[in-house]
Amino acid sequence: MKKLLEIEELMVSVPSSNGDAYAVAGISFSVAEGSKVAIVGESGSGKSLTGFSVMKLLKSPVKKVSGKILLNEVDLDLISDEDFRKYRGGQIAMIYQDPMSSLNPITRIGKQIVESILIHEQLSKSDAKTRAIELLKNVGITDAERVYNSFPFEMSGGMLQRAIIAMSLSGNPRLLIADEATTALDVTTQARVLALLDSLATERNMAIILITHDLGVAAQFADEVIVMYAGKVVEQGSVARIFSNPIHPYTRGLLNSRCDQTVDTNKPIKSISGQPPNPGRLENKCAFANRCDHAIQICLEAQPLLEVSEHGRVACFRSIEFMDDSLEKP
Amino acid sequence: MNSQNILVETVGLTRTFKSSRREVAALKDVSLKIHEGETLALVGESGSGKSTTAKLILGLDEPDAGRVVVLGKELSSLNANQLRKLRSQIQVVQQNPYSQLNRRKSVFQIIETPLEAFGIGTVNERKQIIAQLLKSVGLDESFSNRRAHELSGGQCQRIAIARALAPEPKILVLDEAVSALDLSIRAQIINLLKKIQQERNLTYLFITHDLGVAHYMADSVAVMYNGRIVEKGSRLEIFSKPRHPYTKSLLDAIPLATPNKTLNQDKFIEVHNAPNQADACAYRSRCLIGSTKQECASEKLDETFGNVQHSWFCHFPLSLKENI
Amino acid sequence: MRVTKVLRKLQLSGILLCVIVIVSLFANIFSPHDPFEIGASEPFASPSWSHWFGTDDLGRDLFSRVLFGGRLTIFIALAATVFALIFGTAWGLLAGLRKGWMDEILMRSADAMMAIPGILFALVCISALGASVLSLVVVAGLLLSPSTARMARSAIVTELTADYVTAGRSSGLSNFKLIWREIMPNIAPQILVQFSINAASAVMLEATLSFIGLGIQPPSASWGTLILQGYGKIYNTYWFVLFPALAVTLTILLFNSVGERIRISMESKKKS
Repeated sequence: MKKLLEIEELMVSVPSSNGDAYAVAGISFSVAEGSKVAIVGESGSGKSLTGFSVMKLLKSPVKKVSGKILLNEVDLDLISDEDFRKYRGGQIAMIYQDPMSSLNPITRIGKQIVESILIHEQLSKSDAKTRAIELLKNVGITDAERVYNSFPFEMSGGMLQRAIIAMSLSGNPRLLIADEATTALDVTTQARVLALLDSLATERNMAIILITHDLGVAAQFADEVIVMYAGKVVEQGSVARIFSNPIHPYTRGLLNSRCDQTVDTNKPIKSISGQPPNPGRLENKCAFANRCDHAIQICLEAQPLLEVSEHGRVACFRSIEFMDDSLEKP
Repeated sequence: MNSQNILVETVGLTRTFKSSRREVAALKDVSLKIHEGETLALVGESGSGKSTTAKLILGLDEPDAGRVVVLGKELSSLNANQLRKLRSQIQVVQQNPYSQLNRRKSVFQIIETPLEAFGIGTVNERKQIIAQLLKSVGLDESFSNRRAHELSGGQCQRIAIARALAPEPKILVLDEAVSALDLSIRAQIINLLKKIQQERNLTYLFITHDLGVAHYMADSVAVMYNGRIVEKGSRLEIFSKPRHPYTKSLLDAIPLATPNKTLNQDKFIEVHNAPNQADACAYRSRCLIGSTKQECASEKLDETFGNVQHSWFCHFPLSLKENI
Repeated sequence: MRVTKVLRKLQLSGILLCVIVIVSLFANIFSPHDPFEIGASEPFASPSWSHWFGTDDLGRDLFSRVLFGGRLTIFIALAATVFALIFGTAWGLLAGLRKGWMDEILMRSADAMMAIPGILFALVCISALGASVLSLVVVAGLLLSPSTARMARSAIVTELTADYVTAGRSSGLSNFKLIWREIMPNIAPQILVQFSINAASAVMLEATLSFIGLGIQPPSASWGTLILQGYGKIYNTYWFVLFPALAVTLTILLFNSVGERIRISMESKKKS
């Protein structure tokens, strides 16, 4: 399958009291056309900044320090800001956790969708309206005419998020980045919106990157999962493999910390001790070492690199051992 | 959890919020019982009324109808000072780790506040008590001088728990206390809460929208929708034999972290039907069964009992056959 | 170390303001001449090294007169501001806590007071009370109270919904302790900003009232009075009016600037 998006050694710095801190500390991955990828991580993992980097939405003093982002083999750095405006909302679209942050509260929804359509296409107003209503229907809103004429404050969170998705589809994007887009939704609405995204991906051959901290959401939605920790990719693989056979101690720890109906209520949850680090300087050791039960000497002296195998990619000095299951499994 | 001792009871709680434009019934006829040493999980989505229920149980708000009985005392019969003193027995830990701590105070001062307000210990004794409390929530004594904004979410939540434990309460209200935490930290705090409960024989009202966490923590569960309790029962009954369609839809919607996809990929259409009469079922507009039945629009809902441990409010509860 | 920390926080405007306030309030220490001594020197003398601000028509040293004028103006302004602070804050807090009809009455009366033109109000009050330091303080204080009340009310209404206040009530704090110990420290910056801005307005009020003859009466002189005495002679003896006017302008600017500084640092703290 063709590679739609390729990221090579991306580094993003944020200001901190000790000089520059690296919130994204050198990540590389690719996304195929029409695929569904989940980037999973906790606070400070750098997952959201990765999404913003692809959209070239980083605002000073946060900046991309180095690395390449290729969309359809075109280096995004070579595109001027003005030209890139056609990309944003066109080839690549992004939706966020709070739908209200993308909407004008005093303008009707329909008008805003039409505006977004007209940026990318030359249509008459009535044609644009027809298209907008159709988009609303495509995102599962049965009452499309009424919603078209409604104001944002009249609608629930789930409906708003659907309207935002409709807006983002107006430019017929090849890639949709959803940054915690279902986190603020009720669990029943979330299930529906995830199902919607799933069908859109298939229907339009549109790749979707879902950035989330919720393992369940990642498991149910994605085909491929990228796990980030402290600004680096620690593991990547198919969803089936990652959730049945996680290799990196952080991924295992994360899966062990989950709390759902399948967890044994008589035992304490196997939590990871300590807390996720704040972005800091680049250090020559594994960022997870201080929380890892299996850390050995080398973990404190060098950074593990992502190793490719038939399981996907893992950045851990002991990955081979873990693959062989010589140590505890989750 | 053993005795029949009921520490918290609400009967027919009703609370309506009136704004200039319209009335919003936040709670309607909410009745709950929490037994000594048990954890009752109050589950619902945003707007279901769970936080309002918490505030009423804590005595921080007054119901429009119904009563709250805490440790045998009916809250409305207490004067302001008696109510204040009763609060030492029922404490709260809220969702946002940072905003529930006064950013102008040090950790020591934060935990000292209830000790001082309830007149516990002398100034010197308090130092000991605070050191012990910090230890019991897994924090070193050196945290005493820090301020909330210097600390992580997990650490702040531990301090909020330490503060709640300071007056040695019998009941702890945990209002989405782990919802704002990272996964790995959430697990730590959940473990801490369970440990403390066992050590001190505490009774928990655990409010959450996350059914998975509810399952882990709870002995019994009450499910709320739109201001009403739609179903309540033991954890086992609710999770294995849900009778109310809403409960079932909640359970079905939970995304499990397993490689098997369980979400229904075809059902992404928004369900939206017309509203109905006041006493009838508020869930009707979203209910696949009820939207076709006239009774659900007009008939008053009565509590139906399965057994002592399980009851629900539904005209057409799911039959046991449907639960697999 | 605390001294340098305070100095850095104050910045230039804060330091200048402190200098002006201290020098004015302790005018008797800093003043080189007696401001009342008539004929001590040549009248109408332009500014020189012996008389920095020149002398007036009665040979009195103007620098000393400006200093002592400052003592009156600044004292009245600060006293009025403190009055407005206590009265206005109590007013606003009561409204914010009680809500309901009490809130309505209190806030509508604040609105009504703000709708009355200040000078008109002052005219009526001073003709009733007579012109004196006390009446000036009361009038200015009353005029500044409604805006302070508004600020206090909005501050407390916002804070009352905060989680830490819920936690405080749950911790057994009485209403009084809740406000004094928990909430006040959090709204202190807002109160400080209001104080600064009110002080600027108070200086302006005093100068205005004295300028139109409703304030300080001769032989005492505040900045307003000095400006009144000097503005007619602006072409020949510009120094009569220039220095008091500069003093008023500078002081108002500095109070506003300090208030603005505090507000900006409050906002940047909220963002982080």
